[in-house]
Amino acid sequence: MLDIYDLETRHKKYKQKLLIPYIAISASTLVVTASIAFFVLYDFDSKIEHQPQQQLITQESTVKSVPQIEKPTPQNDMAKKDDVLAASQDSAAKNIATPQQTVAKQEPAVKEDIKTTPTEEKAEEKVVLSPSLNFINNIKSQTPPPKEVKKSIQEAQKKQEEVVPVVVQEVKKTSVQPQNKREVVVPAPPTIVEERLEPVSKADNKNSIDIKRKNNDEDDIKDVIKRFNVNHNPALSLFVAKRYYQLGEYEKAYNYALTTNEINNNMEESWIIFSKSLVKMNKKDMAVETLKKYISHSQSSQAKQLLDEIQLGKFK
Amino acid sequence: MKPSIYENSRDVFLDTVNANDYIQLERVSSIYQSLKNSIEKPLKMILLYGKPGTGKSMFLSKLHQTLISTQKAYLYKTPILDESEFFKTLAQDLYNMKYDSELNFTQFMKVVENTELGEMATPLILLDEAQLYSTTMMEKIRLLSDTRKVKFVIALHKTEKEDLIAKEHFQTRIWESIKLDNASTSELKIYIQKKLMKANCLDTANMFTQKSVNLIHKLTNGNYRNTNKLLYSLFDIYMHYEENNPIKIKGSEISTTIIEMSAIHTGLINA
Ligand SMILES: Nc1ncnc2c1ncn2[C@@H]1O[C@H](COP(=O)(O)OP(=O)(O)O)[C@@H](O)[C@H]1O
Ligand SMILES: [Mg+2]
Repeated sequence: MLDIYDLETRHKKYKQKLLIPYIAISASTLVVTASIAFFVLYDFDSKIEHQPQQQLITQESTVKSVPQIEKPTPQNDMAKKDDVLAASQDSAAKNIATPQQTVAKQEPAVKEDIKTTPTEEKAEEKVVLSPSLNFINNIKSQTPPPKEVKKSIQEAQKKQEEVVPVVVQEVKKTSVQPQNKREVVVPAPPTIVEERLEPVSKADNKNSIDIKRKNNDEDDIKDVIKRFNVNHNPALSLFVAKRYYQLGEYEKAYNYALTTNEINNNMEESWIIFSKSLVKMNKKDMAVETLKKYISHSQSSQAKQLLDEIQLGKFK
Repeated sequence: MKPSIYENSRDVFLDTVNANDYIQLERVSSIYQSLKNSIEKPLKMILLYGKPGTGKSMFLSKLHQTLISTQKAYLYKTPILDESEFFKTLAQDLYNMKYDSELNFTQFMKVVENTELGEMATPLILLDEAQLYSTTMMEKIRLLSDTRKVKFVIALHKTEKEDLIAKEHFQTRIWESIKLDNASTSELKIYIQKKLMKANCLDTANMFTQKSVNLIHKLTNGNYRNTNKLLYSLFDIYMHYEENNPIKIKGSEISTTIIEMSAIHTGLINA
């Protein structure tokens, strides 16, 4: 699903962030030009102290030219009084020297500011959200009775073994009729059917029509899982997570959302499914914690909304 | 409601591998030619490598599709990791032999050595995602090639293991290796436009100016898979605006803002 509003705000922020280096660069160029201007004055002043008499005339011309660029008020005054006394030059030199020093002091401070802000931000960006392992252990030890865990592991193993013959069949058909490749319906070995019925009948054994529909869904999902195993495209695992969530298989949804987050931890929908599945698995606290972490990192408005709903008990 | 042009354009960029969607790209087609040539040479195994999303699977599918009209060729899109299963599949495909029990390498090797090809061209096995095969398995595949009774084209992407395989096998003379790369900007432009035009989306194809393609290239590095993801999401946003806020998509070229929004959505930009 597409949350345009959220995307628009994130894009706005992104644009603003892009401006930061430009602002920093123009600020620093300003500082640099200003300080260069003052350095010119500074060199010249130190020469005055060594040979005050000889260079008076050249001094005048440079002193005059500088105020034209920078126009600091004390120097303007000085330029007017120039022709009057050499003595006044001494005091002018002091005047000029003081502002220059203060600028020299300011300059490194400003540079530090510029350097630190972007790096801090980068560090923030790099924050990787990965659910801790204890957290998964908790779920394993708390939710399912040990039998079910074993079953699901066995199921997973069976599935892995079965991928092989299924794939082979598909490949053979492709080689005969490559054009229809994507339409080929892979005949499922009988063991798979049994296996598929199991979780479904557990979920709701009252409605037999529903079971059929879910079988189709499971076929779709398997197909996508196969593709995902090949190319590890997070869009596919997210799809699987969403479908399992719709089917009420929250543990599987949780697992695939987790996998998705591991591949790309920036997919909002995946974090949403992940958290929702947690709630459904009676892990409300974990869901809240996860969402908070994710919000602090992404500012996702959808995640905020879900967090509110969970905390108000609207989402159960 | 009839599907909008944006919806059609979006679906062009679904990440699927289908030989019929193959697009001739100049550089790729010269590689393609050299690959076809090396298939005709004796005693060569062919390695096709490159990063994920550079079009290896697409390439193999296309190659397979063109080859099967003239010779025996089989494409294994996902690795068959169980050894016995792998040899059984080969026996079935190459010699039409069915084995109910296990078939190990030595047994299968005997079968291969004892068959006569006659006038037939050497049958070809195309293995995709071959980085998933174990090193010992690769060694056995190499020994099978040595019989000259079957030939392998192997596609894999870079993993740590690949370096190892590269050292041990791919440097020997029997290998011919071909590298696939990400698209250059001009190739990417051709890729996007041809893909859209193939689906009759001429109007959207024309919206991709050099400027928009440059930005897309910058974001995706010319990786085909990332480009697909980005453009899928881009047209998804276009569809949304078309329904809710048509002013935003008035321009005659692809909006930079929407390109960036899609990049944020697909995680190519961290924001
Ligand atoms: N020559 C091509 N013509 C059309 N689409 C291509 C081509 N090359 C790559 N693609 C697209 O790019 C995507 C990724 O290519 P793929 O072959 O799966 O890459 P790899 O196998 O190297 O990871 C495919 O889904 C396909 O849509
Ligand atoms: Mg591939």
